[in-house]
Amino acid sequence: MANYPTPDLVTALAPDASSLKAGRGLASPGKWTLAAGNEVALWGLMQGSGKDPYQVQVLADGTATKCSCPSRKFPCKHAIGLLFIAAEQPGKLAASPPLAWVEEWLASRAEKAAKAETKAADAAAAPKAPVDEKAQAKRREKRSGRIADGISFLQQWLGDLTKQGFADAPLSGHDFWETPARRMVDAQAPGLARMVRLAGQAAARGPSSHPVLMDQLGRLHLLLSAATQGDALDPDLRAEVEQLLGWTVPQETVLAGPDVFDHWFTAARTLEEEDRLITSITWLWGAASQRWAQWIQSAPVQQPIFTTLPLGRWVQGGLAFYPGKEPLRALWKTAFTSTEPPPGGLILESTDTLLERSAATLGLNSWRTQLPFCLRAVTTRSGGQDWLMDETGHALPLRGSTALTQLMSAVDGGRPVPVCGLWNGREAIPLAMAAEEDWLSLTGGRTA
Amino acid sequence: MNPDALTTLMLLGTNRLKTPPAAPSPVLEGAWAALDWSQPETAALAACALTAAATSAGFTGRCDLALPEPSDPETRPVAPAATGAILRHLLSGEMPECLPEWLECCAAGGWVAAPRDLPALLVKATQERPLRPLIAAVLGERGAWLARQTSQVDLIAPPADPDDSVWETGTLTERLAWFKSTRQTDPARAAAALATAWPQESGETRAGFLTVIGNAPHPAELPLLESAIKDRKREVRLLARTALMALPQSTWSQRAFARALPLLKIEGILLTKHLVLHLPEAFDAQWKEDGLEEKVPAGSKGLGPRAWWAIQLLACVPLSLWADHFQMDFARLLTLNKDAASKDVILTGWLESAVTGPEPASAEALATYLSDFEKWPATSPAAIPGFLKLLHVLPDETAARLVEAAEAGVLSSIAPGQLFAASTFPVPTAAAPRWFAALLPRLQNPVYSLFQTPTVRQLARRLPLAFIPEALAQLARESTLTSTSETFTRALEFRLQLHQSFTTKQTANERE
Repeated sequence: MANYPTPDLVTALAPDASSLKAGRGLASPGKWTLAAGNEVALWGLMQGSGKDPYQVQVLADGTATKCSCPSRKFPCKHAIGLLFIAAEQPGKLAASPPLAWVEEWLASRAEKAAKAETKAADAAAAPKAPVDEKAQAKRREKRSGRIADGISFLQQWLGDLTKQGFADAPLSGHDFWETPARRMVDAQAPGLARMVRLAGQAAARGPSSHPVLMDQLGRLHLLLSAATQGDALDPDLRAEVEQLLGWTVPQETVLAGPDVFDHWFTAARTLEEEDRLITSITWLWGAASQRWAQWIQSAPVQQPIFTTLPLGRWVQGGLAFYPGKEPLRALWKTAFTSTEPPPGGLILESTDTLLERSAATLGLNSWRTQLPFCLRAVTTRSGGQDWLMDETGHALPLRGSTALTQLMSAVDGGRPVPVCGLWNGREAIPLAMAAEEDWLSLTGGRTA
Repeated sequence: MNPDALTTLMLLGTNRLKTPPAAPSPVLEGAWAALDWSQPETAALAACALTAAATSAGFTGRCDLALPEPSDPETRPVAPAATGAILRHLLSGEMPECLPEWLECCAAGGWVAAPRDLPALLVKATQERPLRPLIAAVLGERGAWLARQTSQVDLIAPPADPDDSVWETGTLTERLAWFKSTRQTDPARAAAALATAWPQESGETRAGFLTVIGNAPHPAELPLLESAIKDRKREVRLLARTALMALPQSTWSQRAFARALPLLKIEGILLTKHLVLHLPEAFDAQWKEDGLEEKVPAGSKGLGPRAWWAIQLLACVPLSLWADHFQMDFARLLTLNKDAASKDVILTGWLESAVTGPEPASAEALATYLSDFEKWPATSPAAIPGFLKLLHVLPDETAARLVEAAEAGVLSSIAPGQLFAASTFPVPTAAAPRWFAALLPRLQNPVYSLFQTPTVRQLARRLPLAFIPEALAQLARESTLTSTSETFTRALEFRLQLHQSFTTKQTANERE
């Protein structure tokens, strides 16, 4: 029998609760004109509102899907429904040979993979195409100038706000934050625009969020100060600052660097939609390197095509990290493959180790506000606050709705279990936890 | 760390700065000293950056909390993974009608629900009281622990025998529970307690206690019932009548027999034999004492006072009285009720009697007689609700046969599918083939859907599991399916999948 994902893995693949519900609704073979599968792929025909049925194709392990429906969700409800059938009633899948369009899709995937490998090999072997370095430098200089202007403006604006004080500033006004944010977009510094908007969101929550607002403004000020130091900065720190401002590092540059080949544990996955762009973030932990990686995939909402790694599984492959201080963001340099857990498996931290790691990271990179973790911990409640407590009895404040913390309590049963999430310096944000013999996503499609 | 001074500065603005704020913590004093307050805005923002980093980097968490008391180990296995997936479908709102079925299967198999499903099950228990016992049966040790943690233990605790004090001080629910429990162990004591409290109780409360008594009264309750038959609240009087009809030794029943017997006579011979109704001439004041009403209820068109009194007198005696009195099978007696002027009055009285003091054999004869609806008495309430009341007192198999017969008869043209939709009994296996054969044309009604989607799913829920494969095969043989039939098919498939998930061995893939 093919190694189809379990129902929990399918649940974890769903982009949000509504897609999951709709997908579950389609998890009945009777609803499909055709639902079939083999060792490699699943495919099906589902009659939609149009004349022709939707053609749904999924790799047998759920890591890639394609559907002719117009959904902006990924995977769409049809792919989730088909995966649920494979997970729950594999015997109901027709054993017919793949249809022509399935063969074409599989062939095109194989062809693309081969081409990518060839391209990578060629790129490594062949001399680089001549780059008009002069023009490139000119473009960079022009953008640098704009960004520098933006930085001056923002420093002035921040200074004015500080002079005036929160009490007299229209902090809850949308335009108060949006005007400088747009100015940063015009200055080609989208990273700064994002930071201004985040500060605006904190301000909108009222005076109780003033400490958070002060933290964000402080970090923004620090970034602006660092940005004005330019070449005086350490190269890694400069790379970090440039990316925070909004400079992008070409993927080729990242892939040209060294990679970290390891057994990677898929600890968590989140999906968020912003500005008609869907971003999938997969958090990976390397067993040998003992380091965390953040694999980001983005696609327009009209055509979201991602590779999805099921939670709690191990893959083997090489990740190339973006330049920066204590970088997390990485790209697959070599194709990854599913693998068995390495000897030792997942190593779980204590809260003390996490806090030490957090302090050390902040010492190197003040803007690293979210740190992934995997603790052996239990959920508990005290003083009206939920806590994530490790085996030594040390506890961190837990962020989550009552429903989420109840779910976590139900799963842990009062005993420490592996929990993955993000530590933001004030609260632990749970993203996934071990449940029985599998892993359970705690994001429910929300953003981290 | 005390960031108040800096917060105050940021709140009021550096324009109002008189003296630079002190370092909020000794560990920051070195860095704080390097801030250049001659440029107050820059210094204040840098101070914010410093405190942000220090707050995060210096976070210590709590180490004074006790580890929670863990749940006891589970004594029963967790239901197979495939069943958990089905449960999540059900809890997300798909096929909610099948949730009780899942819970029953899980409990019957000796399993408990998976921990991750427990919060949703507890929410369900909050929302749907009738499901609580079923949910409690699958929560296991972990669920009970979680309910204690979340103060939801009342939702799932089996009702304890109420303490005697609740009879004096408890809520209505608690007092009803006490009465129900006590009358099982010491009916005389329960009856005495109720009799003492009766005069002070509200009409609603009095009706509540009589509902507990239902049609299974204890002789000790007789004095109370004979007083309740004169109650000022109509609902209480009717409930008391239901109870008294089950106590033929009561003086009330004796008086009811004595009054009813002169009403009906058989006259004529052979083919001219027929039942004759002698309407009462006047309303006896004693009748009112026994719970009868003198005035015809508003809205009873074409019903005179004497006919109304006769209906009530007939309704107060069990149907078996007539079979015994005339020494004749009740079904045969029905055929003798052919006097056009009186037959509806007699039938209405008998219908009331049949649903009040259930006697399944006589009720079946009456329901069979009325199942073509052409003989439905004009003096009686609406036919379909009335017929459904009759079905409630019948065994499921009989009810299924009668629905099938009624749907094939006159209902097929005036109200097709209505009895299928409104009845609620589970269809017995033996009756399923014919019942489904009668239902299928209704599902396949080509012009419009006779049923709403929840009704279709309920219909599928009522079909016995053993018959589902056959029903699906029959549906598959149809050349086209209406959307109603498709919904019905999906519901049957879902039920089949639900049961298979409990019986199919886990595959290696599922266990992985």
